[in-house]
Amino acid sequence: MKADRRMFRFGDAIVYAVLCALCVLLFLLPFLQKQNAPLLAEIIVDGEVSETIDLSNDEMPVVRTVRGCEISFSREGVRVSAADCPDQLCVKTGTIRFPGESIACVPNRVVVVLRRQTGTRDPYDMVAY
Amino acid sequence: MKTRFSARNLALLGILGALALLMSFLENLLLPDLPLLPPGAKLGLSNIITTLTGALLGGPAAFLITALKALFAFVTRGATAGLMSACGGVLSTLGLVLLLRQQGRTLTFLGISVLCAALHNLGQLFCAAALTGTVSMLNYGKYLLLFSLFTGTLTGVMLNVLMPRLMQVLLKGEERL
Repeated sequence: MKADRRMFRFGDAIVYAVLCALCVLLFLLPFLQKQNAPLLAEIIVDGEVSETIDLSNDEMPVVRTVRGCEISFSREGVRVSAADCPDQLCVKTGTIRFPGESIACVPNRVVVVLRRQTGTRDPYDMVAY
Repeated sequence: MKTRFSARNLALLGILGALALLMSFLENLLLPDLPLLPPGAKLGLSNIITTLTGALLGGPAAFLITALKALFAFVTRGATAGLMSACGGVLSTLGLVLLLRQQGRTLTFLGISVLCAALHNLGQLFCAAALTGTVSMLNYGKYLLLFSLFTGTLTGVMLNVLMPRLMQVLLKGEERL
C-alpha cells in the first residue's frame, strides 16, 4: 500500500473503457433480434415454466396469482401488482415491456420473463418456389 | 502494522467492522425507493470500509468484514438478503484482494472500486438467477452494470481522497507507540 495522491492512473481508464463497452454492448443486444413476433410472458416458478401467456391475445388484461405474487398482464406489458414478500422489489420493478426483460420475486422463487415467440407459429424465414 | 493480528490491528478491525455495518444501515435509510434506480441496487457505501480494510489490514481481514456484513444482512433482512450479500461480497472481495496489489502502480482506488462494484452486482445476479432457477434474469445485469459504474466511481473518489489522509493519521499513531 503506497500512500500516493494521484487520483487517476492508466489502469483506471482501462477498467472504465472495458466496462462501458460491455454495458453498451449489452444494451444494444435486444435491438439485433427480430421485432415483429408476438410477445410472450413466461411465469417461472422454481426454475420451471408454469405458464406462458401471449400478450397479444384477446383476453387481455389478465391477472394471475402465483405464490403470493399478483401478476397483471396487459397488451402493454407485465407488472407485479402486489406481493406478500418483505422487500417488495418485484412490485417496485414496475412494468416490463421489452423482450428479455424480467421481474423476479426472489423470496417466492417466482420470475416473469418476456420473450418473442419463436418457431412454433412460423418456422421459416422465407419460402421460395 | 508489523504483525497482522496485533492488539492494535484487532481494535482497528473492530472499528472498521462497526463502521461497515453502520454504512449498510445508513444507505438503506438514504436510498428509499427512487423510481429511476434498478430495484435492489444500492450505493455500496460499506464497500468503502471493505476496501479500506483490505488496504490497511490485508485480504483475510477484508473477508472477515464481508462475512460480518452478510451475517448482518441475514439477521436484519432475512435469509435471501444474507445469501445475496454473501455471494456479491465474496466475489467482489476476491477481486479486491487481487486488484489491491496494483493499487498505486497501475490502478487507483477508482478503478478498483468500479470493478469491485461490478463484481459485487455480478455475484448477486448469479445468486438471484440460481435461487430462482432462471438464466434470463441475467439480462437484468446490464442495468446493474450501468449502475455500478456510478456507485463505483462514488466510492472510488471517496477512497482516493480519504486514503492518503488516513495513512498519515495512522502512521503518526504508529510513531507514538
